[in-house]
Amino acid sequence: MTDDATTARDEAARFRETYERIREQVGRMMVGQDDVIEGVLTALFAGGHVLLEGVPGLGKTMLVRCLSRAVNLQFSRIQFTPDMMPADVQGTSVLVETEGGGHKLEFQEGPLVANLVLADEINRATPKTQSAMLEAMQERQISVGRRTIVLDEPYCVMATQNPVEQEGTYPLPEAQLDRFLMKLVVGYPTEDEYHAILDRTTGDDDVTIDSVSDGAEILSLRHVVRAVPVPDETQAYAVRLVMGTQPGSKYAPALVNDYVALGSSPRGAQGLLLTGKVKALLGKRHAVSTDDVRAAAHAVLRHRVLLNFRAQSDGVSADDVVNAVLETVTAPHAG
Amino acid sequence: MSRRVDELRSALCDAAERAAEVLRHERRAVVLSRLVETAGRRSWIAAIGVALIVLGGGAGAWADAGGIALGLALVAAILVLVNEVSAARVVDERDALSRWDTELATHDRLLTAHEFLAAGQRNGFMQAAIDDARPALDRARGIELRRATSGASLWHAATSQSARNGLAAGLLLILCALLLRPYVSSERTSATPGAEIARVAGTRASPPTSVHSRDPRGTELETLAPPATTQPPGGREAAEEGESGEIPDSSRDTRGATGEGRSAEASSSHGAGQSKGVPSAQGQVSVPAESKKKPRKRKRPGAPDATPAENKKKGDEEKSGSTAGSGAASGSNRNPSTSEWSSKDQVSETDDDPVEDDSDVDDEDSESEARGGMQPNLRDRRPPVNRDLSVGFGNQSDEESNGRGGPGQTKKSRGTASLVLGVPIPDHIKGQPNPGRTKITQERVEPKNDDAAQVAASERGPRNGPTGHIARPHMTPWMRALVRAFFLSEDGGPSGASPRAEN
Repeated sequence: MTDDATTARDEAARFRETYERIREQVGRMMVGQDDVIEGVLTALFAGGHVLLEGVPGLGKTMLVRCLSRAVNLQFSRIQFTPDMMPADVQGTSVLVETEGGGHKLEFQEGPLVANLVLADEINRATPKTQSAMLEAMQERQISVGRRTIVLDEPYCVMATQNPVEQEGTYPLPEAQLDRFLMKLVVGYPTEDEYHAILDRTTGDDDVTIDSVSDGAEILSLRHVVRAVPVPDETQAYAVRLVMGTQPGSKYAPALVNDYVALGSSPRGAQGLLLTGKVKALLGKRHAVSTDDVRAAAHAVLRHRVLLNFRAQSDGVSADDVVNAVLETVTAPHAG
Repeated sequence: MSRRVDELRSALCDAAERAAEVLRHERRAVVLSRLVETAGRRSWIAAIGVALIVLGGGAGAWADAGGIALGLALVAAILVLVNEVSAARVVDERDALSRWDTELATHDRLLTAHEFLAAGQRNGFMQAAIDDARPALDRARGIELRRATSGASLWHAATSQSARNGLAAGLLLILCALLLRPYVSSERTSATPGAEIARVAGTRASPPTSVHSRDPRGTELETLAPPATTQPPGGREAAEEGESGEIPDSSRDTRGATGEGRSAEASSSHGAGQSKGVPSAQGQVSVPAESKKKPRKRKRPGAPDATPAENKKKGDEEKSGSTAGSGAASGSNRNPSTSEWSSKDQVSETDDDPVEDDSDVDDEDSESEARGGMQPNLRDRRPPVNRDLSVGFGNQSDEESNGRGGPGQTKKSRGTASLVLGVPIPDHIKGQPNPGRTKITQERVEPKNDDAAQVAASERGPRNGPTGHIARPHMTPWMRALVRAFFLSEDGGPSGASPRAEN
């Protein structure tokens, strides 16, 4: 075993240790929702953004708050409403009084300028305001007038949304959905988890969350994640999966051809590999396997698949489409 | 370091070799099961072939034991060939290692190590990934790769629903064919060439048939056939003679005597091969008078003469031999033959020409002529659609419009042209039989300078004349205060203050 291999093993171990520490702190407040917590942490280490979908009251906002405390990052929260304008999230110039009694225009940064941004109920804002976040999410900068603000890394937007079918909501545009690395569906807790939630939240005990990491460590661990190699077999499998969601491609199953209007973009393949790298490290492996890609497929691809009207009338969901793709598409050398 | 890598590489190759054997076996089984399933699913097609062979002319050659044995041997040869070909296929090392990964649930560790070992430059993670494969290889050494049970898959393929359905359909077909075979063979035995000729000859000799034929000069001739009997004894005798292989004299006579023209009966009694290509002169005569009166619908230039289906049907009619045959029919089988046997068939409604409605045909013909410009269609004599563009109350039509589109001259003159100077505007002048025309005279005049004395600005003096009415005369302050005090006293305000004191 060479020094390089030893260093890689140490880095991977450090990653797992940090991950577990943060996971433990978040778990103090959150009961259950293991998949959601793992998904949020995966997105944080992979350098992506997360969209949390679920009905109100399931702890989506609390999860992001706990995470911000655990990693000690600058946190801001935006409660989206239908009358919110882009300047409300990006920032705008305001008139301030100077010492001599005069006035001047001064730029005041919006809540998007932070490390960890909680965009609460993002689908209550109009598409105009939702689209104001596109540049921040992709280029990590904000352009207001002639001013460009470069956002500090790590930068992560964690948005929550109610199910789109609810009233008073605006579905997110496809361009913005594509910028989220993952879409995690928050479900109802189990019966045991209900008891634990009630015990923790209705008693007199205060739950405190300690900061166990910081932005610099998160950044260094992101480099570790990026260093995980991807074999050709796995990469080919990820590409096939993404192509399998595109109607008319040679890997698309019949369900995709019938029910999908728009398939995943290349960002989907990027997301599959990045998420797979985190999963490989968590699985104590040093290369991404097809199983890692497979495990990430639902969270990464479900919001990138645009269903047509026929699918909606037949009750076919995006998860059904991803399931069909996973059943049909195989790796190049898998049997 | 390199020794460890070499050991690992050889171990991977060894594992791949072991897996390759299993993979070959599995693939062979997969190919065979697919073959069985497909064969089961498509067995009804093969059954149709077998049924046709059994019922068809080759039954004697194929339905015996030798033919069956040959067929079975062919199937067995195909199976063996497929088996050998699938076994001879080279198995990729990556496929074999992937099989091990699946078996040991090692998350592609072996496959990844194989790929990274072949890489030229390796970073720490790649070396760590190669090392991760060692425990999996150690495990692989200790176990045998399980083969997929081919028997189960074969059985599954053979007993799948589609295969069973196809197999059942095929067996039913073959069974039906075998059950029907005695009847078919007996009919065929009775329908030997000699017997057929005799039967036809017997039937032919029966009715007194008036056969229309045309001699080379174009005159119609009527040939009287022997008197009609429903079941002529001579016919049965002839049939018996035919069975014995002899051709009856009547038949010989008919062939020889009729010669080139060959009577309709003769041509109808023989197969298509004889009646084809020798068009009888009767056919030209037998065209119904109705068809002359009412010409068939003219075909479009680009349309084919007949569709393949029609051709096929026509060919079937020709081959059937029940009608006057191709030589006599000449496009229609309504041959006014007096033969009872033939006229029964010919007058029946088997003619495939649809009964055409006369009115429809006429209408279409007139339309087609009108389209060709030969003669205008009466429908087109209606006045054209009024395209009056006038906007007004009730959309009253322009009285002067001629009804051929567009407004009249009065309306036209209201357009943009009337706003452009120098454009001749056609106008309608009352009292004149035709619209008049405004005459515009254009005169070319050279511009001239206007001579005037120049006045310097400095020479302008002050104004001397009266200034006119001035709305607000100049007032001194004391006069303004006096006026103010006066109006205040009028309103009842304090009047004691002297104007000067206020100032």
